[in-house]
Amino acid sequence: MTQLESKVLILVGTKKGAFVLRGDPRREAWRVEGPFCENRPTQHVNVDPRTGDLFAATAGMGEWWSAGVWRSTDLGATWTFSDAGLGYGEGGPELLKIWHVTEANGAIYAGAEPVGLFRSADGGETWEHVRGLRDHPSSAGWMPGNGGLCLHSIVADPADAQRMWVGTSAAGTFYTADGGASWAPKNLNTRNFDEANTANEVAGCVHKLIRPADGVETLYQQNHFGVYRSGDGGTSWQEISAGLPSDFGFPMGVHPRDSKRVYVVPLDGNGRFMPEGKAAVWRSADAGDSWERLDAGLPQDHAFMGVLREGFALDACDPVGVYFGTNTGQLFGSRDEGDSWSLIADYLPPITSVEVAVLQ
Amino acid sequence: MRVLLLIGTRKGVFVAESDGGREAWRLRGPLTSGTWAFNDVCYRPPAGAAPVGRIYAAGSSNWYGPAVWWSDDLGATWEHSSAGLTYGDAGPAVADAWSLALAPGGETLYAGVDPAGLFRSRDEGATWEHLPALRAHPSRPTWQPTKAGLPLHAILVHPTDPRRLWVAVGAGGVYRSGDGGDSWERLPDAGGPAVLGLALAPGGAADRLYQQSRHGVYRSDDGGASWEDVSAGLPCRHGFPVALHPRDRETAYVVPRDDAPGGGRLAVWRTRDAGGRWERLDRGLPAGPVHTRVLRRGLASDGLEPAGVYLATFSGRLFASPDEGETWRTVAPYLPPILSLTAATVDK
Repeated sequence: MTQLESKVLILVGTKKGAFVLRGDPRREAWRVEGPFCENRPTQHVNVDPRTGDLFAATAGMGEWWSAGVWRSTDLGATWTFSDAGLGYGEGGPELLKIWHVTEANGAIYAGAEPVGLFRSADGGETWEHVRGLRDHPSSAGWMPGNGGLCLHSIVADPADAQRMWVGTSAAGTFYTADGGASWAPKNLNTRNFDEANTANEVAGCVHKLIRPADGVETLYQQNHFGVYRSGDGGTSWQEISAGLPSDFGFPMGVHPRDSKRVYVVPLDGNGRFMPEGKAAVWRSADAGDSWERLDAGLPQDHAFMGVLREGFALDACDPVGVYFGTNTGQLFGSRDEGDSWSLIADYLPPITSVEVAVLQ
Repeated sequence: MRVLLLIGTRKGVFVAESDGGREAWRLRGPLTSGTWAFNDVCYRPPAGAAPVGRIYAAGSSNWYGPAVWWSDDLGATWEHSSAGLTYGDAGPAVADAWSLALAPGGETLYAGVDPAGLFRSRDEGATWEHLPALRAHPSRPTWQPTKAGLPLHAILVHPTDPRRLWVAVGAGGVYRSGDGGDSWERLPDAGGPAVLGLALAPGGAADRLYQQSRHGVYRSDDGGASWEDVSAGLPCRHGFPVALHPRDRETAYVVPRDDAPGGGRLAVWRTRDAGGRWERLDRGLPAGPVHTRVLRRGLASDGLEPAGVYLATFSGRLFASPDEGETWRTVAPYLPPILSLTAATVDK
């Protein structure tokens, strides 16, 4: 990919709307546009890499407006809202928020609170409930995390459209091999609020679930209780938190061309801010066996910032750009895979999500 | 002489400290548990031979509920209590502690909570008693919640007559008591019942109040019985905080909202003539657009000469002006969201 011909957009979701930052080809200067989406609390903004369409997931507000997904087909200039089909019907719970929106295997998927998965085959105009997940026999006992009972991670297998994993808080990870008709929990050997429950069949406060893009059969997750790796599609998990300053954190990211190169942002488990007020991203080059602290250019003095589960992203350029947004409205970026950092934008509303679109 | 900024955040209490020049600041914190959010902080000067006074902080945690914290060593160690901070089994649960005020002499401490009600402690915060007259007022059914809930978010005590109290209920207007909280008078609304900032001016024969509400900035020279609109000259009627000069009752500071498309600019506005004219103060504040708020208690002044003015944002930035607002410098850029700010001076 020739960067000089590409457009790089940082997509930022905040508590007060969506923002788009347009970068120059060198990713040095950024122009902030927004807020979009009527300043609504925006959990996630993402791009459909096939079309360049942007999607923004927003929360409902009682009787004022419903939760839904906005689409922009002009790189953020105009946005159209849809909640058609986003709901659990009569007798079902009220749909409070959309937490995550992503393209997967030719469709657009949305993860909801309370936990549920929706699919759009028409580019986000209408949505269909993927009922199999909520039909799982465990669903009556699903417990919320501190942020609510939400489906926040949707992970597909580009080689097999029937396979998908979803991460929820706090009902754990579920897997389907039949296109969403039936689901199985995948939490073995992850720790939980109930320390005696080592089998951990249907439970688990997954904070972020990711899968590398290079086709390797690996999953990673940042959990409320540790960072984990799975080499068998989530059937069993191995903890890889050793060497990190905290096993708590929200986001996790992986290098687009190296499945062993993973990133986390450890946070103090009580205050949920950078441990000791010293900002850092941690990177592993060996799939989590060892970790390296990355803090060049990041504030180290009373920097009690937090980063939420969607607040971290990598781009697909070479070298890879790494970005994180804070719950106090700062956006930091690195153009050298995390080796050095600078403040890209400041005084945004509290940042809930960061994604990067690299478009030709 | 030291100046302490007591900073209540969503994640604990921080303290910034400087000498009387107020140019260089040293930051400590979080001094309490980071799982607590603090809506108000105040300082009681030392009594007798004690070297330093006591910091009080009011707030809550998701797990514990509301409480008032205190520290007798400027934040190094803390205790807290919620004993008596309750409406009893028949009443609503107290969700949060929102406001604090010390009566002159420092022996009586008041706390306001959500849902709105007033509590009093006569043992330095160890135990609390509900003063039921406010919630028994016949106007209570008119109280409406705001986005922040239905807190009793401001308490003022007259500096020489501890029987005279004012409280603000959001959105339920302002109440006045002349008997230490045994009975209350619902004062007339200035622009509406959604009062956000309320302050009592120093000195003078008549009680002068300033208020910032959703509807404008208002001044009263009769203890709140009548209000004059002094919003003319401000760029927006709506703001959250109002802070006053420690000695000059003509001087007040507000932070009008700026919701310009693409982000407003951060600025404090000052009047030197009790609201007749306003001037914009932004030297040293960020020049670019900001998408953040300054909350009800995000503006404070100290008692020095010239007066220091302090500004804190919900995005965790703290700014200080040692010259009554003329120039500003950043004290702390990366704190958690700041909910409350109080300046205190310590002799030793």
